[in-house]
Amino acid sequence: MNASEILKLLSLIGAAEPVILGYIKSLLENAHGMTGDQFLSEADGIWAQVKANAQQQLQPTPSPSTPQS
Amino acid sequence: MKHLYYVVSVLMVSLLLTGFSCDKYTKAGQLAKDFAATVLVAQQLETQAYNSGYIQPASHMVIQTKFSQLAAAGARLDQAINQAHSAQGAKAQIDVAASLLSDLSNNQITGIKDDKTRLAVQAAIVSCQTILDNIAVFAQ
Repeated sequence: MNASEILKLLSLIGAAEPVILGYIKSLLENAHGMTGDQFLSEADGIWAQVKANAQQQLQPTPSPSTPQS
Repeated sequence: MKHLYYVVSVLMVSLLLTGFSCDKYTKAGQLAKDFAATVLVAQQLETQAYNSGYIQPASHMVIQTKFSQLAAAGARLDQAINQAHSAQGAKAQIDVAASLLSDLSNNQITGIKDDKTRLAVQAAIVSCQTILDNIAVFAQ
């Protein structure tokens, strides 16, 4: 199975979740011809997103605001 | 069922990308990116499970704290790979990340109530461990 066949398969099975599928597709599409620096730069961006997601989840749930009269 | 598709997809991509690069720096960088992306997927799976009510708030907080620590260790791993232009010298950060993944797998996600969700998150974490093991090979 080559990369394009896998991409087609992923499109079929992952249509319900475009965000995660987008990351997987980008892994496949961008892998060729990238340098070590480029890979590491992208990895750093992903780590920043993991950290931001975690911080968002760790924030206390805001109390409901009082309706303005 | 959707979770299983994600996990299968992650595993397929991980295996597919393993053989693409040839020089050690590019290969280490590629694996580092795959590692980060797979951790992100695992985190998103866990968040989805929490939002669906399968994880207690206290456990969710602990797990997300681990993901945050994993992100910090991952960024330091990237830095070490960049400085050495290979994975050599990155062993300390690999050990930290491996320890966090092991704790997540063996302790933190065992409280997920739904069996399929727990297995899906566990499979994503196993994928992360597999990629980290591949990076560790370059660090020797």
